[in-house]
This record gives sequence, structure tokens and C-alpha cells, in this order.
Amino acid sequence: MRAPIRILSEDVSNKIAAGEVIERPASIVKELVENAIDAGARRIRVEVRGGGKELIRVVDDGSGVPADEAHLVFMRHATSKIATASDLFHISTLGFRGEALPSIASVARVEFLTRTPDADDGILLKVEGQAIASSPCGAPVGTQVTVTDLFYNTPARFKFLKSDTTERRFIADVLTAIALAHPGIAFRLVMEGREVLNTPGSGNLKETLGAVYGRRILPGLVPVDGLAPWGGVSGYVGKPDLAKGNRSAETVFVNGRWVQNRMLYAAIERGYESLLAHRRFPLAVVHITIDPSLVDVNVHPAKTEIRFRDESDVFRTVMKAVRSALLQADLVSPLGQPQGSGPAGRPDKAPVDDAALQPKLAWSFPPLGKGGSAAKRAPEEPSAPVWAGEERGTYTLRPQPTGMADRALHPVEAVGAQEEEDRAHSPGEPPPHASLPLAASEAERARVAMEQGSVAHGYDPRELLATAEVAGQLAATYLLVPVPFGLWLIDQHVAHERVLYEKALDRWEQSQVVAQQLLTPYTLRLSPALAATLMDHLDAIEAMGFGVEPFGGNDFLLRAVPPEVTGRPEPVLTQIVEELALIVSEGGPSRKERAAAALACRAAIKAGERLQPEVMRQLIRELATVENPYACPHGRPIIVQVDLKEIERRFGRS
Amino acid sequence: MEFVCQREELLRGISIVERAATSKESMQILEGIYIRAEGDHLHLAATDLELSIECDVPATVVQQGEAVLGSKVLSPIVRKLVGDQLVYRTSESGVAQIESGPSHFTVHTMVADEFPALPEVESTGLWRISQGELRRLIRHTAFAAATDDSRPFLTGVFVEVEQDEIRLVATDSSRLAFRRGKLLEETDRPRSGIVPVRALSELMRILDDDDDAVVEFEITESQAVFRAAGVQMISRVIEGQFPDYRRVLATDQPTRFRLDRIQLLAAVERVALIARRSTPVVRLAVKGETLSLSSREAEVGQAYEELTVVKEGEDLETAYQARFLTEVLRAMDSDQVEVGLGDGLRQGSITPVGDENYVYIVMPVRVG
Repeated sequence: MRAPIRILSEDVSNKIAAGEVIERPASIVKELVENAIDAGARRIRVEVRGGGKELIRVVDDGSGVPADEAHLVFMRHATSKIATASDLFHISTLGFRGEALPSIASVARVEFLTRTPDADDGILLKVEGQAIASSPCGAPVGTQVTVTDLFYNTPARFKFLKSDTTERRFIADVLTAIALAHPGIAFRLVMEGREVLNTPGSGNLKETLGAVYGRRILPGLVPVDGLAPWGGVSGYVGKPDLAKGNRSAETVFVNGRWVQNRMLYAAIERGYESLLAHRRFPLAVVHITIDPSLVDVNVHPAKTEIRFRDESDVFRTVMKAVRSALLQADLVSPLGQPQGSGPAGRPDKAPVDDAALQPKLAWSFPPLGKGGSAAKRAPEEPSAPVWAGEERGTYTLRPQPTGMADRALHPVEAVGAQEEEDRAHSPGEPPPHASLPLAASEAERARVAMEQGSVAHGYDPRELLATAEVAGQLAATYLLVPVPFGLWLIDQHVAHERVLYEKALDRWEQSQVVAQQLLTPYTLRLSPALAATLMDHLDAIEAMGFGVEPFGGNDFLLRAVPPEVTGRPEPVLTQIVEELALIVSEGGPSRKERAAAALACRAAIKAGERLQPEVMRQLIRELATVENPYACPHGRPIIVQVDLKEIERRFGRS
Repeated sequence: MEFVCQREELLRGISIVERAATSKESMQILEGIYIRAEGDHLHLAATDLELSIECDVPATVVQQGEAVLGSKVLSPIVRKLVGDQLVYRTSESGVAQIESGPSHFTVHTMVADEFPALPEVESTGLWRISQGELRRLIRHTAFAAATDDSRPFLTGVFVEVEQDEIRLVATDSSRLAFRRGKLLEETDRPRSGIVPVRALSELMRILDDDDDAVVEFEITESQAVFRAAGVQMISRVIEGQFPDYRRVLATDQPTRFRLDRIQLLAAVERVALIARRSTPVVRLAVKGETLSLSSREAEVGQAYEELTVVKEGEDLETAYQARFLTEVLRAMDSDQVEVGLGDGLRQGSITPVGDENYVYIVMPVRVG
């Protein structure tokens, strides 16, 4: 017998709706903080315990809610933010559905304390399920929402929560993103009694970025600025050496709302084109301002998804803004600032922060509960910071060799041995290595480190390449080029690779085929799969300057080669075909980029090859003409700068 | 060992052999110059195991013996000394005393026994050629060899000897230079081998200006030996099968025209100037008695030039890498050259007018 159809009770429907809005503690933080922002708060403090399952408290200094309206906040679709359906298409506030508080209240115990500036008393609402108890209560202006015992009444959902560590990471991610969206608001996040984020609220996005990722990234930030008829793009992107192994440092906002949109990530990454190595992702904070009628944010209750009327236009604008910002920036890797990948910094060159630095995100937490908890946290534990967030005005420097900044900047990457060590310390206590006031020499070192990135300013790197002389060759691999502010080390292979890559792309883009015919053809035998790939892409391969003829089976006759290919042509073509075989239906570099990169890599001067002075000279002259003299098509740096100041320091002249 | 010699003579010998000394640190002894005093001369030698150069310098030998001195030490000292005569003496301890004019040097020597034994060469039955002829053969061909090591057999010059004829061929697989020369005497031992370009350029340096002087040489399975006035150079030969150049030479072109070599060279160099980033490519178009050369580069511009030629055959248009034209035009000696253009993507040729022994074949580029 079938069950009769019933209208669900409000309690049940609230719980269902809550499922969409409240997935985890981080969703609660997001909803409450967005409410606080909508209430005009200038300072917002978030406190979290037990990964948010025990307690979440959000305190703001916003406008508060009048006592007589307070009970309405727990009614579904009660909101002051929109009135009619047409308002949905001109949404300028973060929240608007009126779902947040009722949804939270349906899955947790909530206390709501609020006072408006003109009221003498505040009001305290205690909500548990359907029951709301209210009483007048003294309170500062603003609102304080305390959420405890999350999912106490929906044990099934409780079970789906991850470890406290993971939940804390989600919360930190959410608040970081919100803080970056609102540099004008001071955010403070305290988790398990430790402050892990504190932004100045000065309205300066760069300062906020420094507070989040550490001041040492500041010289590596390049401002992005792009205009479009529908609005514009602004923000900062990190130079390639700040890149990391996942997208966690790519933050995008649309009209101030944090969105996670593949198209926008792709647009930013395409802006870097070949500046980044494979599987490296940029540090970027990009704000998109767009006429609200051209986007639909009402796609999902969590509102991190978004739809654009004209996706491709937005894509192009973002990509171009990022690219032109990067091309105008000086991307020479300063020596001594550890790279995301590749050569690590020198041990004694550990980044040193300014004493006035705001404490930053600290990701290591003391083990909770009793002993034995260490075991269960291991696999998903975010890596420990090198810099623990300390009280304002002091900082801890832990002497640590290479990779330090990298780790500090990539908080969610792999767990290392250092971390094990971190866990041994008791909570709140600085690690035993060193906790010292900023010494003058280190401040100086910090200054040097900061200046290294910018000292080249005032010189056009291309101009330098076009006029500089090569002083010699180091290890038959690096060209030594003295410049007015120090010494450039130029990797001959990657430099030539970049030159060849751009030549090949140029020819392609101008549909200018140059195929040097061969006196006697070479034969090439490929695997069946590669042979099929070659046939699929024969047009592209011929457009590059190869002349290829099927010769039966998986054999081919190679009758012509691009003029850059002066050596044995078969390995070059094989590599190109292998690269083309990697093309999947979508994403990644385009066909021509892949093919050009493979050609350049194979045909370029090799490392370890002794070069005549005129060849080296010619190489840097050619490098001066390329669009991007900073990184090879695979993202490796071409030029490493040894700063004159650094040299002087080492010689004790500073 | 003890000897007295003319400083200039010793310096000449050192400058000849030191080019074969290596600067690699892997085997220190190979940085040295081997000196053996015997009879009325000194025998100097240096090698990097691929190439060895030996020469004799007249000297008054007081006590015969041998020693190895670092070339980086010996060479600058002998060069800077001021006396006409040089006195050399090695003590028991292996320390060498070098005196000339007012100067006195004491330098350490290396252990002569460690110096590798150089190949012995039979001094009879070598082929003979005039210096002038050999120079011309090398100058006309060696530039066309490949410069990268991915195909070692193309980094040398193929030398072929048959009866009284010697043929040198070099190619990088896009162009080929062929020159035929005459031996002074016929040989009954036809032979061929690939000689590294480096050995031939060192040989060019060693050979003096006397075109009529005789060079004796031989190519065996493993090495090439050249002997000229008191100098012997031995090089390994490169293993591998050199491409069959005869098939390449056999073809003919439908269009041929003649013009002044220097004019053509200058015109190609000029139009190639427009290429800034790309590999310079020059289009050649023959129409009637006019050869037009042009080149273009996106974002830079284009260049165009006309020359008057004497043509046989059809009007034709093709394109070549500028470098492949300029290099051969510079190497040639004749006033006039004959250029043959191939149809479609077939090969072109450049030959000096009045010299049938030299042929340069060049493949065009397809420009789309």
C-alpha cells in the first residue's frame, strides 16, 4: 500500500533545505560572515572550536537587527535584502535568499545576540529546533551569532563531516577568500584558541594579500587591470615563482562574491600561458566587476557557482588582463627567493618578515583530545607552517633550509618531516628553535630580499638583452651576462627553446610555412598509435614545416623539416607527435602550442654544449626579441638574477 | 734532456702542436706538450686522443731525452721570452730549466711515460697532393658539413681517393658541396673515409702559403694521416655510412642562369637583412633575363632586388635559406657563377663558371 502524500512539516522542509546551504561548518561560517558584511560590519571576528562542530561564533560591528524584527531572521525566506523577484537580477548583497539562519537553526543550536545603534538594549534569541526563546540582553552594537552542536539532530549528516583538521581547512579557505574579497573589512579568525588570520581592513588588497600569504610574496605580485564594456577586471597575480601545485591560491570574485568557476580559473591560467610549468597553478586574486544583470548567481544556494551571459567575452577579458600584466612585469627570478619548483633558495636566505607584519594563517594545530589523535590526522593534515601566527609584534624564525617559503606559501601541500616536529610542540608555545626579536641584520636581509625582485625596475630587460655582452659560459650551460644591477645567469637551453618556440608560433600564426627540403629523406617508424596521431594531425605537422609522406604501415618518409631543426629530425618529429597524442578533448595548451613547445625543446641548444662567443651573443639578442624572455614553454625560468647588492653583501661591502 | 735551439723555431713548433692539446681536466697529461730531443732535432707532439699533431724543430741536442710540459705553461713562456736562443735542461728531479736572454724559468714537468703512444705511420706509399689543391678542396666543402652531433657521420668531410682523383663531399642533409681534385700521382689503392671538420680546419692552419709544396696523406680504416713540411697530423675517422652523393649530383635543372658571384652574394645578404626573428629565407624568381630576390618578415617589412642574368630554360620561382646561398658564394673563387633552379621542391645547384670540378647542391624551402 502506498503512503499517502503529505505536506512536509516546516521542520522537515527546513532540514532538507539546510542540506543545500549547510554542507559543513565552513558553510555556516560563510553564511554568517556574509550576513555580517551585508550588515555593514567593519570588523568581523570568527571563532571556531572543534573544527566548527562544537562551536562557531561570528561577531560583527554592523548595523544589528531591531528587537522587533529579530525573530523574523529565523523564518525561511525572511530577508531585508530583496523584495521582488526582479530584484534577483540586480543582486548587490551577498546573501538574499533568507535561508541562512533558518537553515542553520534547523541543524544546530543557535544563539543570536544583536543590538542596533539606536536601541539601548540588545535582544538575545536562543533557537533550538522550532523553539525560539527571546530575552532582552545587554550587547555591543552589531550581531553575534553562536552556533553550537552542529548536526546534533541529524546524526547522518554529522557522520559525513571530515576530521576537524579538514573542516578547519575549509573554514580557513572560506574566510581567506572572503577577506580577500573585502580588504576594507578587518577579519580575524581564531581557531582552537589560536589566531590564524588577521587582516588589517585598510582597504588595500595588496596588504590583505600580505596578511594572508605572508609579506614575502609582495614583491612577486603584479597588479591586474582590465576594462570591458560590462565592467572590468582587477586584482593581483603572482609571478610564476609563486606558483603552487594546486588551485588553492587562485581566488576569484564576481561583484565581491567568491566564486569557484572553472572557466575563470582557465582564463587566469591561460593568461600565464607557458610561464608556468605543467601542473603548476598561479597565485591570483582576481576581482571581476560586471553588470549584475549579465550574471546569474542564483544557480545554487551556496552561491559559489555563477553563470555569465557571455562567457567567452569574460574569458578573453580576464585572460588578456592577466597576460598583459605579466608581460609588463619584470619576471626575472631573483636569486635567493626559493622557486615553486626548480632551484631552491640558499639555506641562509630564508625569507625574513618584517616585525610589523600581521600574523598570518597558521595551519598547524595542537593535537586535540587525548594522546593518540596524531595517528588519525596524518593523511589529510595540511602541512605545517614555517611561520606560526604569533601575537602582533613578535615573530618566530625557525632556521630551516631550502623550500621554506614554498612550504609556507603552500599550506595545503604534502606533509613533511618538519611537520612531525611541529606537532611535538605544545599548543600556543613557540617552537623551541628560536623566538627572537627581529635583529637588525635580518631586517637588512629582509630588505635585500624584498628589493631583489624590484631592483631591475627602471631597466627594460629586453633592452638589456639587446645590448649586454656575454661574459662567459658557466658549466657549458649558463651564459653569464653582467647587467647594471648585478649578474644574469641565462640558461642556454631554455633561452633557445623560448626563441624557437616563439618563432614556430609566429610562423604558425602568420600561416607562414617554411619547410626546408632534404636532399635525401629520412625514414621514421612510429608505433601504431603514434602513426595514427601523426595522420590525424598531418595538417598541423606540415604547417610547422615538416614534409611527411606515409610510406606504408607505420613508416613515414620525412622529406622536409622546419629550418630550426638542424640536427637529426626524427626524434624531433617523434616528440611532437607524442605531444600531440596527449591532446584530450578539452583544456590544456592548444595544438600549436604543444607542437611548438615540443619542437623547441628538441631543436634547442642543449645544456652542456660549449658555445662560441658569437653564438652566445646571437642567442641573447634573439632572446631580446621574444615576447616572453622569462620562462621556457614548460615554465622553467630562463634568467636568474644575482643582485649586485647581494654580491656586495656577501663580500661584506654593504 | 738538454738542448739548445732557436726560440722562434721552438715557438713555431709549439704553436702548431698545441692546438691538439686538450683543455679537459680528465686527463692532465693530455694538456701537455711532449718533447723528445734526439739527433739534430726536437720532436714535439700533442694529442687529445682524437687528433694528434707532431712536428720536428731543429736543435742542438746536448743530452737526449723526453719530457712533457703543460702547454698552458710552456707556450706563453716561450712566446714572451726575448733571447734568440733558448737553453733547456731537465734535472733528475723532473724540474725543467728554461733560459733565454736574461730570463730563467724553473718549471715542473709531467711524467713522459704517461703520454700516450702516438700511432706509427709507414712513411712509404702515401698519396701526394699539392698544398694549394688540398686547401681549395677543404675550403670549398667543409663549410657544408653538419655542426650538431646528432648525426656524427655528417660532421665530417667525406674524402674519396681513386686513381689520380680525390673527391671531397660534405653535407648537412639540406645542401651538399662536392669538389674534385687531382693527386700528384696515381694510386692503385682506392680508399675513402669521413674526416672530422675540426681536423681539416687544423690542417688548413698548419699548411703554409706555398701552393706547390707537397702534402702526403693517407686514409685508413681508422685514421687519416697528413704530412707536410716537418708536421704530421693524425685524426681518427668518423664511423658511419656517408650518404650516396652521386645520386644527388646526377639530377639536372630546367632553369639555369649566370651572373656575377659577388653581385649575387651582396644581393642575397641585403634582402636577408629584413629577417629579424625568423630564419632568413630568400625567394628567387627568374623571368626572362631578370632575377628578382625578395624576402619578407611580418611586422618588419620586405626587401626586393633585381639583377640581370643570362638565362637558359624556363621562368621559375623558388626559395632558399639565405645562409645556404651566402656560405657557398663566399667560399667560391670564380667571378661568375651558374645557378640552376629545380622545379617544384627539387634541388637547385650553384657552380663556378669555368670550373667543372665544383658543384654545390641546395634544397629549396617550401614557403606557404
